[in-house]
Amino acid sequence: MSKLNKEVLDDALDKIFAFSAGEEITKDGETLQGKKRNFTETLELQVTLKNYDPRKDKRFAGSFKLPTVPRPNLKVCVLGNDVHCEQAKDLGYAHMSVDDLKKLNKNKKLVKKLAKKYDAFVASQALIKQIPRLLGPGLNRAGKFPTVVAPSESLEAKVNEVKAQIKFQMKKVLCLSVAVGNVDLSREENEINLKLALNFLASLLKKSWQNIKVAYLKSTMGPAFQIYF
Amino acid sequence: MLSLALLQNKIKRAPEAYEAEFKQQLRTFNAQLSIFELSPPKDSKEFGRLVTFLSQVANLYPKESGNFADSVKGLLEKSYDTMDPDLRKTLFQALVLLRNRGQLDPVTLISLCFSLFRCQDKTLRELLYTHIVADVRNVNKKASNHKLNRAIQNVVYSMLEDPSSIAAKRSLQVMVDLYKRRVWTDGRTVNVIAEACLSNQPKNVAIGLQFFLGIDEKIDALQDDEEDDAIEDALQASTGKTRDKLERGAQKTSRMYSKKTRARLRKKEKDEKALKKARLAKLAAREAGNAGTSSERRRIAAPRFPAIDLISDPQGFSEKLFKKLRGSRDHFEVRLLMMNLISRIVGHHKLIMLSFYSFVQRYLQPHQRHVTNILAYLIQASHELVPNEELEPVAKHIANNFINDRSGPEQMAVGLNTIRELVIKVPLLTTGQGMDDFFQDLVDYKAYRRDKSVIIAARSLLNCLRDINPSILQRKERGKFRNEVDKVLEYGEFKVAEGVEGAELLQMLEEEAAARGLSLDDDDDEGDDEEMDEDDDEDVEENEEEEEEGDEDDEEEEKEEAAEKSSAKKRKRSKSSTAEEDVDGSEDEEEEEEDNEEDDEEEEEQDAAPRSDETLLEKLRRHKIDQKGRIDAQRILTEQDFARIRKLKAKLEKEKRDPRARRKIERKRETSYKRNVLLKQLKAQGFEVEGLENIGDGEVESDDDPFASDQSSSEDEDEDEVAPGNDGSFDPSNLEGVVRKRRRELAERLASVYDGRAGAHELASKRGGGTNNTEKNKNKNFLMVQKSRKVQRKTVASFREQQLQLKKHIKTLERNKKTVQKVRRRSKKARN
Repeated sequence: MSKLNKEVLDDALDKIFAFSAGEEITKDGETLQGKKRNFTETLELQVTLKNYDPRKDKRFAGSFKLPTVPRPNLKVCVLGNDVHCEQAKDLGYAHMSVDDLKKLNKNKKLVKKLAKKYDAFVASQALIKQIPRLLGPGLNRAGKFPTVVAPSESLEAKVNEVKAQIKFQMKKVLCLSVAVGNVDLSREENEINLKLALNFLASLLKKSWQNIKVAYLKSTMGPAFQIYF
Repeated sequence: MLSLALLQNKIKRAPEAYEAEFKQQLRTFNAQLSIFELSPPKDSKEFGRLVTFLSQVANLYPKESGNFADSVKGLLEKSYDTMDPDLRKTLFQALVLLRNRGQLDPVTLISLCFSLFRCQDKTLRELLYTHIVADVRNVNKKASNHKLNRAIQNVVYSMLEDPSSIAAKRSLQVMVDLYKRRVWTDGRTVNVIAEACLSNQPKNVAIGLQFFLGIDEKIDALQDDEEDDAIEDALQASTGKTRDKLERGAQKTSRMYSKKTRARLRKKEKDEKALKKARLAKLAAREAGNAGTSSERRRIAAPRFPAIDLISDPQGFSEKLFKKLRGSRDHFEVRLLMMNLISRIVGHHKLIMLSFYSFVQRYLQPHQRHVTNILAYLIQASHELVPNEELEPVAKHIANNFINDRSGPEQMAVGLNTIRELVIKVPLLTTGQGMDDFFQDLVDYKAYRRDKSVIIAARSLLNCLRDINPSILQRKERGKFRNEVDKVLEYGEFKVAEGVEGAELLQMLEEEAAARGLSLDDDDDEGDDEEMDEDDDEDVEENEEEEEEGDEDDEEEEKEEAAEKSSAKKRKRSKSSTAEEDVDGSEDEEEEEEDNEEDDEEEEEQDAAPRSDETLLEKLRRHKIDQKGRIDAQRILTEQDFARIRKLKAKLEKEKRDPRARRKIERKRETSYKRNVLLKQLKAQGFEVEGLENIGDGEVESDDDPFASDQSSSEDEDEDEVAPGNDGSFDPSNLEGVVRKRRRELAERLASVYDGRAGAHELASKRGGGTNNTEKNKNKNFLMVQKSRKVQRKTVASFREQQLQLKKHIKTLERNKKTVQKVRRRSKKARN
C-alpha cells in the first residue's frame, strides 16, 4: 500500500502556504515564523529512491508536462527561422536567428553564456538539425538542448508547453528534485500537479512505490515537509 | 650481553626491568644510523636485525623511542635506491609493524610507499602494494575517513605524472583496486583514473581504459567470490574441513567402499548440517545485504552507479580522449579500447561528437581486424541526438562495403544487422532523402538464396522497419498489423508524458464499472454514489445480480427501441450489446444518476457511447479526458492500481499486435449479435430465457476482466525481463550472422563438454583410495574375462533378466548423473 497519506499531504500544503504567506506554523512541535518573500516561491518535490540499482535497473529519464506551469518566470529563448523570430518578437520572447547563432562562431565561452542565460530553448524545425553544427555541444552539455517547434505549431503554445515540462533525471545520487508548482497558484492546481508528478514518478519505477524511500515537499525558502515515509 | 631475540622475549615479559638494555640498543642504532648515512656499509645484516628488534619492542617504550620511526623512515626515504634489497625490505617491514601498532601516521607511511614504487625491486613493490591496499581498507573499515582519503588521493594524483612509469602504473593500480573493493567509490577516484586515460604513458592509458570498460563486472565477480570465501571460512571454523571436501562427503562417494560405522555416520551428518547452514547463511547475507551494521558492509551494499556515470565532464573528457585517439600511435588494441570507451561515453551521456562517426567510418572495411567490434562501437555511439545526416554516409558506407553480392554472406549479415541496430538507435535515419530506396534494397536481401544468415538478418531489418517506420517500405511489406499512428519523432522532439501511461485505461474501466454500479476496490473515490452503497451490501452475489439487472435493462432497452426506431445510432448500438456485460443498460442507469455526477463527466458519458465488445484500443480512442480530470491527477495511485495498469497495457499491446485477438473480437461480436437476435425471437415467443444468457459468456468475462485476478498476475510480472547493463555497452556478438553464431556456440558447447569430462576425471581421482574391483574388471583385457562366468552368464541371460538388469542400470546412471553434474559445475567455476 502507498504510504502517502492524504491528510499528511493536505497538512503539508496548508502549512507551506501559510508559511509563505508570512503566518506562524508549527512543525514537529516547534513554532516557525513564516515570511512573505519578495518573489514567488516555488513548490519543490524532493524524492529519494531505494532498492534501485543504477547499474542494472533501467535508466529512467522522464519528461512530464504539468497542467499548470510551475515556474512562470522561466526564460525561454526561441532559436528560429524568420517567421518564428517575427512571432517571438510579437509575443515578447527572447529570440535568435541563424545569423545570430553564426555570430557565436562556435565560441565555447559564448555558447556557455547563452546556455546559462536561458532556462530552456525552442528551435524551429528547419534550424534544429544545424544546431549541433552551429553551436557545438554547448547546449547539450548544459542539458538544454532545444525542443523542436514545427511550422504548423503555434509558437506560444510550444513555449508554454516547454515551460510546463518537468524532467525526472537522476545523476550520481539516488535523489530527485523537481518543481511542481508555486505558491501563487491555487491550492487545487498545486495539488493536481503534485499528484500527477508523484504518480508519474512511481509509474517510472519498476516497483512503483516500493522504490521510493522518502519524499519531501517544500517551498523555496520554507521548511521541508515529509509527505512519504 | 643477551642476544637480540632473547632480549626481545624478556622485554615483552617485563618491559620495566629491561629499560636500560633497550636504551643501549637504541643508542647503538643511532650510532650505526649516523655511520650508515655517511657511507652505507657492505654488510648490513646486523643493522637490519637491530631495527627489527627495536620495531618489535618500541611500542613498550613510547617515550624513549620517540623518533625511532621517523629516523627509519628518513633513512629509507633518503637512500632507498642505494640500499641492500634485504635491508630495504627489513626496514619497510619494521615501518609496517610500527604503523600497525599505531606509532606511525598512516598518511606518511603510505606516501613513502608511493615514492618507494620507484624502486627497482619487484618483491618490494608487491609488498608496498598489498600494504597500501590493506591499510587504506583498514582505515576506512569503521567509517570512511575522508580527510585521509583525500590526502592519499592527492599523493596518487601527483604520482600519476611520475617520471618512473612503474611507479605511476602501480599507483594507478592501487586506485583501481580500491575502487574494485568498494573502498574508494567517489567521483574523485573515478576522475583521477579518467585523467590517467589521457596521460602519456601507454600502460596507464590501457589500465584506465580497461577500468572504465570492465570494472563493474569485476566488482560483481569480486563480490561473489567474497561471499564464497566467507562460507569457506565459516565451514573451516566450524568443522575444520574445506567446503570441497565436505561436499564430496555429502555426495557419498568418498566412503562408498569403506565400512559404515556409527562414528562415520555421525561425522557425515555433522558435515552435512554445517554445509546446509553455510548455504543458508549465504542466502541470508545476500538478502540482508543492506541491513548490515558495519560501514564497510553498508558501503558495499550502497547503490552503485556505473563508473562512466561518475565522470564529471564527460563531453570534455571524451573530446580529449578522441583527440588523443586521432593522434595515437599506440597498439591497435589500445586504440580499440579508446574507441570503445569514447563510444560508450557518447552513447551513455548522449553527447554530440560528430567527428567520431566519420573517424570510425575509416575502419569499417570487411577485412579490417575486429571489424565486428568496431561496428558495435559505432552502434554504442549513436543515439537520438545525433543528426541523421551524420549517420547516413556511415550507413551507406557499410551497405556499400559489406552488403553486396561480392562480399561473403557473413559480412552481409553483419552489415545488415549493424544497420538494423543503427535504425533502432536513430529512427530518424529512415526519414532522410532517398533512404526509402536504400532500405528497400537492403530488405530485398530477404530473398537471398545463398545463405540463411543473410535472409534472417534482412528479415530482422524488415521487422524492425515495420515497427519504426513502415511508410518507407513497399505496401506489401508493411505487414498487416503495423502501427500507423506513431510517427518517427522529429529531430529534437521527444516524448513528453501527460500522465501515468495507461492510467486512462484504468480510469475508463473504473468509470465503466462505477456506471455498472460496482466498486472495483474499496478506496475508490467514486464510491459515493447511492448505487454503489446499495451494491456494497450485495457484493457476494454481484455477478448474478448484475446479470439479472442486465436482463431488465435489456427489456427496457427493447421497449425504448420500439418507441424511437428513428435513431439509427441507437439501433446500431443495441445490435452489438450483449446481455451479460450490458453497458447499454448501464447507460440508462447513468441517466438516472446524472444529478449526482459532475457536468463535464456527464457530457463525456453522453457522447461516449460504449459498446460492450469493443477492443481496448477502440475504447481508448473514444475516451479523451483533459489532463486535470485524469485519474492520476485526482488521487494517488496504489500498488494495486499500478498492477492493473500494467495488465491493461499488456492487453492493449497484445491487441495491437495479435491478429488472433482481433479475429476473436470479431467473432465475439458476430456471435453476440446472432444470439441477441435469437433471444429476442425467443422472448417474443414468450419463452423463459434467463438461463440461456449466461451460456458462453462466462469464459469471455473472466478472460476480459483485468480485475479478476490481480494478485496472481502481478506476481508473475515481477520476474519479467532482465534489463541489460546500463554502462552503454553493446555486445558485438549480436551483430554476427546466425550461422556463424551457431558455429561459435557449438564450439563453446563442445568446450564445455570437454570441460565436463575433465571434471568427471577429477571426480574419480579425488575420491581417495585406489581403484575398486569393479573398475579393475572394467580395465581388464577382454580376452582375459571372456570365458569368465560373469560374462558367460550374460550371454545366456533370459529376456526378463536382461530387462531387470537394464532397469537397475538406468537407476544407477540417474543417481550418478546428479553427482557428476554437480562436480562439473564446481570444477568449471574453479577454472574460471
